[in-house]
Amino acid sequence: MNDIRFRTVTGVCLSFTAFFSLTGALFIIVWWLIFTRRFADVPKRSFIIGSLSLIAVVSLILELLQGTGISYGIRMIAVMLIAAWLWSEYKPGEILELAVWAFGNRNGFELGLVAELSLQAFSSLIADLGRMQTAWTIKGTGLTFSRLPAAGTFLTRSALDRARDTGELLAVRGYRRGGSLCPHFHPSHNDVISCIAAVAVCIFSLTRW
Amino acid sequence: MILRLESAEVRRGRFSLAASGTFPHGIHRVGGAVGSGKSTLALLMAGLLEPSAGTISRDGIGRTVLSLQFPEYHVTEATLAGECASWGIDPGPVLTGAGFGNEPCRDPFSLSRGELKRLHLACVLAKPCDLLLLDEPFAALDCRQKENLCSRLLPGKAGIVILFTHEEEFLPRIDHSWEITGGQLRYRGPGQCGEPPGGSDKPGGRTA
Repeated sequence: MNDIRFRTVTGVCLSFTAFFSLTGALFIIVWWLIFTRRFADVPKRSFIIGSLSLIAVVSLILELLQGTGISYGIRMIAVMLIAAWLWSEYKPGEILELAVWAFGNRNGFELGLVAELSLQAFSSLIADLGRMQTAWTIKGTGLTFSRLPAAGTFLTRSALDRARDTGELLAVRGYRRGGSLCPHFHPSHNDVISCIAAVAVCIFSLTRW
Repeated sequence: MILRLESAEVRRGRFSLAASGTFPHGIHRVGGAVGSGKSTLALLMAGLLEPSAGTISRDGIGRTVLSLQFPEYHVTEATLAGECASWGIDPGPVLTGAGFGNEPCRDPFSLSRGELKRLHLACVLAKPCDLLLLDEPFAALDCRQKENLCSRLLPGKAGIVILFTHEEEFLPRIDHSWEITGGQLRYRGPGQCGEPPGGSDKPGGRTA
């Protein structure tokens, strides 16, 4: 989906549906199979596999204790699939464009910039984690329970250092508040069709809820 | 003790690297332009990156140590002593040798990059190994530290030492020179300068 405006509407509708309706969650899985490239563009598939495994374990426990595990599992899988799809479709800079389009060059720019920096920080954290794993491998050790505090400290510290550097860079360049941006979007027919389908799933599921 | 690359390839989008060659005991220098694939080749040789095609064999090589270009990528502990210990070495002599004998509890990230590189190289060189891969070991070091590093990389002291570097001025005695050009590792001949370009540009390189 090229246009982030349609993607946002789609993401909100599907998340809302998955939260409230089991039938809706099943429709979302069908929607995901039809309108997305599935896991083809997901950057870190291990995260998705890990999350799905965790959901499966929690669902099993809930099913054994309360009998609600299957409903929980299906709805959470739907949420995970939407999250994976949104993550794989994200292109740097487009949230800034969306925020400016929605809220203008002052508040929208601020909001969009914060969102973009947050996503950038998340990507950097993943890169840091990869480097730490490489460092441990080189040193002949692995990630053990006793190393978790050191790893957490390192990752937090790196993120804070980067945030400080970015803040200083913005200040040096004279950034105060807001900015000037002319957002551009390139919607396709597929964007419109998949968005309409998502809204339809949402309305249908919520009217039956 | 020998490292062999047989048509080993790495492909990542538009980037590709092909490497064939034999690396015997001694000091090797691998040169090449920025972005040519030196760090990728180092990861490949260290076994941290799987080749898309071809094979890499490490006959008689037990322990491999790789020094990455940026020393901060190696830091996993909160103190200098902890960082040394994480390499499996005694922190005392290494810290003293690197000039941090009185600061074992200091935070590694409070060091400048040059200082951190000095400490990191001290740890790497203190760890016995058969294959030592140094990616840009001279970066961030001053002239004195570069000379010091060269003096510690004496031929015959370690097993196979491979330097991936742009450095031209400060180098230890090089036994074999290699270069990555056009996405391919090529043997340039014995010694620091090697043979004139064109002398051994056969695809896949040549046995050193």
